[in-house]
Amino acid sequence: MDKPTTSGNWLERQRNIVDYSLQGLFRRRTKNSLILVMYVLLIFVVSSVLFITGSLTVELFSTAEELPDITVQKMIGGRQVTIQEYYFKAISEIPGVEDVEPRVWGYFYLEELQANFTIYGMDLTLLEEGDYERIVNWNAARKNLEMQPEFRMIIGEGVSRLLKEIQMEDAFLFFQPNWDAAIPFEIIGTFKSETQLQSNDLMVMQTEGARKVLELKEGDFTDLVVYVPNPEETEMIALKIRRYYPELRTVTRAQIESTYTSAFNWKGGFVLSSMLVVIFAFLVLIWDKASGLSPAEKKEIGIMKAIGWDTEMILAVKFWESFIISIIAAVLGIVLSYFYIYWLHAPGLKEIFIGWSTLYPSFELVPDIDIKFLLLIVTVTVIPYSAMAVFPSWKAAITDTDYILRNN
Amino acid sequence: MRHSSKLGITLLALLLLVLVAAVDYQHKRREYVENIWMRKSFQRAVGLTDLSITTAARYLRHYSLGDMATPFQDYPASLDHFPAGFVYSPPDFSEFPKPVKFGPLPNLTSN
Repeated sequence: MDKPTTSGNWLERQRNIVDYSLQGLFRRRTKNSLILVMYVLLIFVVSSVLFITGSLTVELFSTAEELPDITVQKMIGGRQVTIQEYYFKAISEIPGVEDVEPRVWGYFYLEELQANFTIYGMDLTLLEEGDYERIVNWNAARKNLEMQPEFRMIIGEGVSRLLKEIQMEDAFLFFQPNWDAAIPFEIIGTFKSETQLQSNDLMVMQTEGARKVLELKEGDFTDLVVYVPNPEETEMIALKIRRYYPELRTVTRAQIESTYTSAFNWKGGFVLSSMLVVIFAFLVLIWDKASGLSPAEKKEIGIMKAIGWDTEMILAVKFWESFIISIIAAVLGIVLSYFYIYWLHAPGLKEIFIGWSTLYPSFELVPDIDIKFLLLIVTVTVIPYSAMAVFPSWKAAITDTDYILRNN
Repeated sequence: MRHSSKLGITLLALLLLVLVAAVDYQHKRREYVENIWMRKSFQRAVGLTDLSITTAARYLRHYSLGDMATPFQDYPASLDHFPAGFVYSPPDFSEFPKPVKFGPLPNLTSN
């Protein structure tokens, strides 16, 4: 018997099969368009969640090594209270401790703008030296030496934007109803936008000015930070602090990094709920594909068998139909989510992170894309979807052609 | 034009988008590496933790330093009502003071 003729080389045959598959897709264009849109949306949601949480985690860790080794808080009744000066001397005498710094910081709520500012007290002259000077956009008021040093402050970009709305961009009046008089603070600079994610809501002022605004008594501090040069000793020193003073809580840098690692992990409400919704929607999509062909599709396979198509080619057609939809959806979903997060700054999604804040950064995030995750998304979506299309087609292809054509 | 040619054009357009995204990614990463010293300098000068993403509540703003009671402090059995609280997993409370110990009572008569 003569060998049957074949239509060109392997590449040309596959191209013909792809042509036929695309014709099949266009024949059912409404249904396939909806499947494509849903598929793109599912991958878009998964990628967006992974991108935004990955970028925020990178931002958290970018400065983690500059954190204090141990932060010490005083707890009464399970709540943080101010810590007194006598702890400072006792902790600094523990062997292995290089330095202990008491800190004065807290929050100031401005009712008119419904904004919470973070007030931080420090020696402002430190920010006028070396690298620190280059992280601030200094105002002309910096040179005004007649102003008392404790009534100057440097603010974050978000604070600056809010204060411009109430025409207080050069100076700000702190006032509470129980005070005798308002306290004016001259704004001598704004932190640069590169530090926005850390400094957006910050008002950094001299320690004595912060103490006045936060109404902290002399000798009281918000917390202490302990510097330990040998990282191997940090846990032991933290344990000693807790043993000597059971009312104190220590937060080591390792614990803060552990919190950073788990802040946006899969067990968090936002990530878990997004992923569960996407997984169930995708399972519904796959189930629809695997549950069988429509009568029209079965009849089409029957006719193809009747005119001489073999099972292998029919399966190739069905595989290409699903593969084309899934690969386009995967690539398009991932690319659209990249532009959504890093070009458009995640409108809609960032509001979930911002919550009820009136003071929030612009969400200009650094992209952090793990190729392994992208490959995982593509593998977990494309392969099952393409494979699920093959099985019902195989069942129809091995069924008697006469039976299919008579019963459909 | 054959359908496979149209598919080829579509895939080329997608590849172009991927290339644009890849170039933008490299550009942003380079910018980040050039400017990271500013973030580190800021962190060294002002040692506060966490990002200024939400300022709705103090336990959300300084997430790593919050205590256990603050999210639920309004009244006994109150729930966390800030929407941004939905986003974060609980922080590391492993070294929180533990004045209450569960287990058998100590034998007061032993020395």
